[in-house]
Amino acid sequence: MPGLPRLRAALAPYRWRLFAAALVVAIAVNVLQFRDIDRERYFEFKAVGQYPTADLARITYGNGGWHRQRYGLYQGLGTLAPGATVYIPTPSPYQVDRATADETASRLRVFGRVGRLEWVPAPTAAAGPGFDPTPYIVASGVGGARGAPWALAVDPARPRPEGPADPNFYLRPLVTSEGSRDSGADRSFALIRWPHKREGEKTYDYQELLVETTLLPPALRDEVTR
Amino acid sequence: MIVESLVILLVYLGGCAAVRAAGVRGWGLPPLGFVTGVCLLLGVGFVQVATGLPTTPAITLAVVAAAPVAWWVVRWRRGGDVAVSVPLAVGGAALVVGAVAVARDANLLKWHPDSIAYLMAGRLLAEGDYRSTASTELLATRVFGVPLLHAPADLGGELYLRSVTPLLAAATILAVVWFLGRAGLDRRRFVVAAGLAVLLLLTSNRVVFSFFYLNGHLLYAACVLLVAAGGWLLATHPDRDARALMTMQLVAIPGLVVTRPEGFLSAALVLLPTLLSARLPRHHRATVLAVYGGTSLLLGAFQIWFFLDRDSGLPASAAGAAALGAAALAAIPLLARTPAQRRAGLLLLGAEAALWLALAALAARDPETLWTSLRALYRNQVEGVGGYGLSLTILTALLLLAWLLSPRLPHQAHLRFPLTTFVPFCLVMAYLREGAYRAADADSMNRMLIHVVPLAVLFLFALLTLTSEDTGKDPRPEATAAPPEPATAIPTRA
Repeated sequence: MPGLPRLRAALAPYRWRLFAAALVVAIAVNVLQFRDIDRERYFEFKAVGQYPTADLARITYGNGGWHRQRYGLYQGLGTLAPGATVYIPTPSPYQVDRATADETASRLRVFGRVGRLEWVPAPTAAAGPGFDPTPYIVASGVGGARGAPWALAVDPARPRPEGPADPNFYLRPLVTSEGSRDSGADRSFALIRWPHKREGEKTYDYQELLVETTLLPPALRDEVTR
Repeated sequence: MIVESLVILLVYLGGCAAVRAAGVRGWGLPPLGFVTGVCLLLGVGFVQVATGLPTTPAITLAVVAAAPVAWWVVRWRRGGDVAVSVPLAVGGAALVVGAVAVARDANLLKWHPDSIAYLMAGRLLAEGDYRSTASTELLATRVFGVPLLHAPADLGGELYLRSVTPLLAAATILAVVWFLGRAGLDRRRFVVAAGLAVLLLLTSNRVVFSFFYLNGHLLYAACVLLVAAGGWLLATHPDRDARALMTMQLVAIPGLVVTRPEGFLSAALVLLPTLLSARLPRHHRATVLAVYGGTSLLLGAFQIWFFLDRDSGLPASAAGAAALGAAALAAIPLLARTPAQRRAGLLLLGAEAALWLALAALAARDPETLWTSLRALYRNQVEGVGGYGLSLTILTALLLLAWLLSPRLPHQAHLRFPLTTFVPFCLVMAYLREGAYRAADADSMNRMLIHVVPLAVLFLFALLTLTSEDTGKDPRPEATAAPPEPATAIPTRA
């Protein structure tokens, strides 16, 4: 641009002041827009927003339906029985390919806080829990685009924290992804695809079930834990 | 609280020891030290993961703190000017602990589905399960930067470090001010410029969001700033803070490569002005290229091993990182050839043109992706869908005006090139990922824009406030710039 050097020279004495004024305007625009930007966003994407807790599991469990679908079962295990051993009877849909197996193992380790994870040949148990675990289900979640319905069945003889009686809400005030991986308790669970449709479910005709092995019929328990 | 305070203090201690041993002093030491410590955390952690060493963060933290302290002790025993005021050091540590306490109490985190995946990877790393358990998708899409940043939280049984992101954001903004100050402004102009720069950043909605967002965008922005601004100051004042700037550049490179899936590519763009600058010592440029090449090769090789171990098809990014890393290592001897250096400006221009040409070629085959992405960019930045309001539009306009109306800023390619290649690079990436960008605050490109915001603000203020008199009286283009003058020829700041 031929006139540019002349313009530069003409503006030189005022350049800094002009731009300083422009910057003040830019800052003012930012300030004026700040609240409106936040007002238009979901809570998670507001610039500033305080949660009642910093525990990400509790936040995501309470705020995001698909987080419950994807991680709820594992977070429930980590909350109620950290350090447990989990057996996955095979052949299993959780090992249909390496990616699925790795993802399942990752969720069990990270959110389920499992102490030990074993894939065990147990075709009978893999086909189902061999009994109706409904009376022992303390926590459950609906299915959706991010995962099947799930249920967590625990031995009533084991102590567990007080919470809402409805399994759909039991974990909400309790769930955590923090704390020690080892609770010191010797507990074990089996992860089974339970061929039983959840009431009201339209897409899935099964539920992901974590069931405490002490609840399994003796034959299945032996098959899984031997 | 105690574990997180100890973790942050160790990172802070290691970083401060490194930059103090390298010559940084004054108020810039804490923020630069913290950013450097974080970069060291990523670099050391990445070596642990990729080489098969135990990945417990206890080892990472021990190395991050002990190695720089050992370097500091060596420099101190040799009579180097590395003394530290004990009361100020204790005060700094107390401030850090106070900041940790406040951040832990504030519960101001921001999250997104990606955050969960990053933190899953972090815990797998911390508990030594990553190599056996992580999925190929987790490795390919989340890489290591954010997981390594938060892995030490597991030492206290937590999923993430509550305070590290706010502290890193604050340190990055202070680093912008430090770089501006070291460029040679008089005190009065510096105070006004620093105040305006900080306000411009802190009033931007998405910059504030970045203080609390569990993701790698701000981390990446900090690394871009250290490399680009470090290269600029090294070229402008070769005798001022040279050791510190070189150290910061080197430690930031692994952060650039391992924080984003496309990091090995975008890092090359950020590093190119440094590699081609005749003003920088050849041994430093060779080291930069070696660190970049080594990190990319190691990342690519690890990914290849990981995918083969799982009988999965190799992603192009793994082979690309390994090939680019190997090529970078092989190119180190080329740095000795002066013709390339003399044509640095042309080479940068060529690289930028090649990027636009690649975009044009891709768009010719599939114009819809480009059109959709450009429309998303417009809607995000001009119509305000992306959450920035008009802040980036105004910043871009001011940058353009300042660039046109200011005297030529010497060695500006270090600051300009990563900015002007950023948008075409992102648009090219739209063709290499799952598809076009979209109009939404959670859109990838919209979030990635924060990568260059601190650098853009530094460039704007450098253009507005610095003249050739401030910056070493060498307004000649980079391509023809002379080698560094003797140290005594350029006045140094006290």
